Amino acid sequence: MKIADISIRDGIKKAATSGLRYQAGPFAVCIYTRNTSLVELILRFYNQSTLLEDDAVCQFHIDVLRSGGLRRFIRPKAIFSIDAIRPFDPYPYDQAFPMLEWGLNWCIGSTAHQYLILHSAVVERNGKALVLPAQPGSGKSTLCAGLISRGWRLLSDEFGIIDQKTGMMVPLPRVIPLKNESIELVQHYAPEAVFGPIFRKTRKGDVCHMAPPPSSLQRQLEQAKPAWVIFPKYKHGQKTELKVEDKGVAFTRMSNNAFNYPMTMGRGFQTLTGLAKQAQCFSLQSGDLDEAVTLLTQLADECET
Amino acid sequence: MNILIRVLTNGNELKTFSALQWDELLRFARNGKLMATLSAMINKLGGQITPPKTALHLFAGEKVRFDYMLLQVERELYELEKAFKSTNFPIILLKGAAYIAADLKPAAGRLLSDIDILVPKRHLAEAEACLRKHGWQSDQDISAYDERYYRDWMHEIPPLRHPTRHLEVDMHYNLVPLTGRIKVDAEMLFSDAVKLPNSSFSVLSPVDRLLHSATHLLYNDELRGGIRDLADMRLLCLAEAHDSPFWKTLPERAKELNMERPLFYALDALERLFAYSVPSDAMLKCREFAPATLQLFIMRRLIDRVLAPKTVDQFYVPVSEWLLFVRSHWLRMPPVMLCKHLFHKWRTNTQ
Amino acid sequence: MYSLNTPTPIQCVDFNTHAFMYDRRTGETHYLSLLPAEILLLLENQSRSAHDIATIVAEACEHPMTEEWQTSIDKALDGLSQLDLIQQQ
Repeated sequence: MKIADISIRDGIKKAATSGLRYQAGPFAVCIYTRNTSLVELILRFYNQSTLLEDDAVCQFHIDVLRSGGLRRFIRPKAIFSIDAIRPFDPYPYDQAFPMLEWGLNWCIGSTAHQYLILHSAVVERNGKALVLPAQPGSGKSTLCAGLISRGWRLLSDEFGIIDQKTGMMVPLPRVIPLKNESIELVQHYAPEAVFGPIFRKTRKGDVCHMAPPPSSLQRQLEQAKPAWVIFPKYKHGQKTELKVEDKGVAFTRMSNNAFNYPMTMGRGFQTLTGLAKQAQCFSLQSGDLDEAVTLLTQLADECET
Repeated sequence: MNILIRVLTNGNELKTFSALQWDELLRFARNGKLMATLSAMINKLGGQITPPKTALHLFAGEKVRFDYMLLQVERELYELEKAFKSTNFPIILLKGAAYIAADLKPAAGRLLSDIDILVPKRHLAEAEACLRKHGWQSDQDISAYDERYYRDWMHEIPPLRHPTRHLEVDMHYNLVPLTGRIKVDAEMLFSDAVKLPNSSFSVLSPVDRLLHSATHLLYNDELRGGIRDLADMRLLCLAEAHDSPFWKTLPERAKELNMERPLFYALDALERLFAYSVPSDAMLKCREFAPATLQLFIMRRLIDRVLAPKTVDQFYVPVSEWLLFVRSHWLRMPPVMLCKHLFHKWRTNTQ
Repeated sequence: MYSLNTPTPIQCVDFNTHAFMYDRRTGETHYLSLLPAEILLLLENQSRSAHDIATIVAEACEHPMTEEWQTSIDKALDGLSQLDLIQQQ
């Protein structure tokens, strides 16, 4: 059963009672909330994700609560809580959706250590995965959004999750948060894509979410073998160029980039050195989204021939 | 008994668990910081239990975290041994680090984020200098007030950390804060301490270990150690045979160290919450350490609510002025006045 | 005599001009040039003296056993000691 198969009313009811339970990549998530607009956004964005039974055993039981007290009507806050643990400060009530997204990232990043988790976008084409490790100013999310609007499958915008048993990339397709100038840029580049509302003045500036394509959600249990590791760097006016990256350097950069490299110990070392050796490693400089997308698509398609 | 305690007491219950029960159990495990312990326990039971896939998935992540913590602790102990090589005063490992170093039952699945050591007060300056010489530093941001708070009132120096590593080392010279009611003669702890083989470290004697655990739990605001500390204590007790001299020594030693009251509360909680039977002679003696009826009533309610909530909704016990009153004031207010005050508060909160 | 201060088997991966090594005792990842990496592998199953190490590696590299060669080996051994990967008895 998919999320799309239930009505908004049922979704709201579930969230308010036994919990709205659904599959997010390899994770079973349960959301408890009475925030109806939050539930509507979840149902809209993740409509092709698997809806789980009311008694499905979940990994994360997240409460999105409304703060009590004197301010509850004047300036209500949304609180993210997982089994009564509150990892961060409350958000304005109408920013509950971005808060939930960041909160779920926190849950995954701080518990799923059987995986080696890179801070990167991962997309797939012709059965091969492209890993795009993030760094400040990389423009990873913008590039990721651009690629998936040109036929690449979305595995994840935020997490490069490596299954350490298979060396394959694990999908966790979620909304892509676009910030500030990126919002207009991507909306212009991909006018047919589905976008959510713009959340103004969040902790990360203006944020607008691009929906994961339905096919990416439908295929979220399909792992993909990484063929390329490409470190993107966006700079306005820069010529678009792909340069081969030394594999030792690529390994070092990835070990610094990963959320949990030290925690994965010897196994993580093996996984990451293996990835650096097996994949083609590049650094990409670009000042133009379309040029970058075209270049990468060409690279992937040339591999096939 | 809440679901987590039921399972910790008898793992076989899991054989007949429904999906809903597993779901609830995982929530309690996360809230009580006992996920890794639960995972270790289920592992030990082997093929008899088949947890749902999602549970196994969670446990796999926890195992990695636990293994990494173990590596960090062993590394830190190795470095501490190296640093203290030139000294010749006793150094006692406390709590989690002690369980790991001495390979005690509570070590399985027990996560810790710092290493607590106890040194004799007269050697404290030397010990601190030794660590600083080998590269440990205190937190740069600590204020003068906080420094004083640690040194003069909390019986420890501000936490030290080696810049290339993550674990904090907390060096104590006594077990309890100076301003509280309980006054412990730290020297007594050293005379009964047990030296670890091939090591400069010692651990507290089994009796002192339990007493420390009880005092540590019952002694801080909000019972922060939580159900985890109580679960550890149960394992420490289970390690002692019913007819062991441990049980005879325990009440006497509690008196010597002025730790009667926390011991009573701890054993009482183990009996009520974990259905654990303390050997009767020992329990009889410990019941003499109980407070007046009203205070007992209030403390039991507090302990039950905070350590063993019955349902998930009860996780959200507001850590309110009520709890803070009980905790900090218990230590400073005259009992009768406290009880009257608290009883009134409790009545108003539950109506 | 030098011996390893890290568990065996050694986790070492070479990338042509250098190697990365994971120390399972400390959890640290080290970037090593090829000479120290070779030395570690030599010590994997037994302790050796600095002179023996120099001789064996010289032979493997078809390099004459000179005083300068010994000095380079000593330097590499020193570096490895600093990283706490080997210890001297």
